[in-house]
Amino acid sequence: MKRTIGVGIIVAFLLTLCVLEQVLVKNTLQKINQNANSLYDTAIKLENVNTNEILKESEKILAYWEKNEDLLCFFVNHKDMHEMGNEIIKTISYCKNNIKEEFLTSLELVIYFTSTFDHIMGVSLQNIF
Amino acid sequence: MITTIVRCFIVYVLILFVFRLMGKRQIAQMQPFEFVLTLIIADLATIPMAEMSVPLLNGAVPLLTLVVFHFILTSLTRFSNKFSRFISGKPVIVIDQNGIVYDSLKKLNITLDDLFESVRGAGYFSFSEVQYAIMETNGKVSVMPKQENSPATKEDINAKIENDSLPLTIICEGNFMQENLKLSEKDEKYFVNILKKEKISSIKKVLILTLTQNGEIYLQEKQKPCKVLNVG
Repeated sequence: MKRTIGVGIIVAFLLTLCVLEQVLVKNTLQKINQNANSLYDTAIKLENVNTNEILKESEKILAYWEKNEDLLCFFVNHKDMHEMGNEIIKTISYCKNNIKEEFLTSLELVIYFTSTFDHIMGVSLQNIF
Repeated sequence: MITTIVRCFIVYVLILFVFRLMGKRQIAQMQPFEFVLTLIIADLATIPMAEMSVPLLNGAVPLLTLVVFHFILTSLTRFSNKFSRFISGKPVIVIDQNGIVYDSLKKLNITLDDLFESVRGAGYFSFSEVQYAIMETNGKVSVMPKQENSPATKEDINAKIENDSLPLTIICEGNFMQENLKLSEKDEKYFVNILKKEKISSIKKVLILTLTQNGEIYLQEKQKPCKVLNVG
């Protein structure tokens, strides 16, 4: 009986983790992806990326990332997290120094990381096999 | 470094919990799939301990998942004999009245040397002493000797047979075992008096004290020779 209860608790724990991972990680990355995409669309039209609007948006992404980073660490490989954080910070620096190409490259990388996460970690036949 | 120590501790506790849930079988008694499972668990546990970039959950989740699967599998084997045979196989007779069953050896992929070793391990040094030998599902060979080679029992030689009882450990390393004390239907005072008679001033000096149903007490003080008393 004790063993059954123990296994029951484990199953509940595993299910909670699965749901948490899907909800928390997916939502966070989706939101960053949306923000990064809209920032990219705005920035590509401008000649100068050193504007208040771009800086504000970049800082918003960074703030959101920093807010959720601690929770994501439980599920995502820390190396991937580090790379992602690096690229987000770079966007602010490129924005301040007005290096449009690098700014767009970093944004593209952020978009790439956030959109591929689902491909890598999501439930799919490709990932299972 | 502190993180590594904490992670190691968590993984250690987790493994302890996992093995407690899996039961108390020793390696020699394991079914092949249980042995493989143990190896996998050992391997999985090292990942979060060695790789700091891997979240601890990435190591814990596969470990716990394997425990759940193992529980389901063992439950199914308990409920269904067919499933149990499918998973663990069935015992195979390797020696019968006609001698070694060569087809069984081929089927089990074991050599004559392996069989010899197992039979010797069971205490028989010649196949002629063996009536039956069965290869169990865990790879152990059980041997049934021929009548003339089986050891004589008390019944065979008409010796006086007394009912043995399991000795209860009453004091172990200076502490009363309360559960066994209840089973013995005696109280602490009773045993303290016995200790006083044996000139043992404190219970803390006792290494072990056991009591059998017929009143035999095995008493040993720490760093002193044992005594056998009869209080029955």
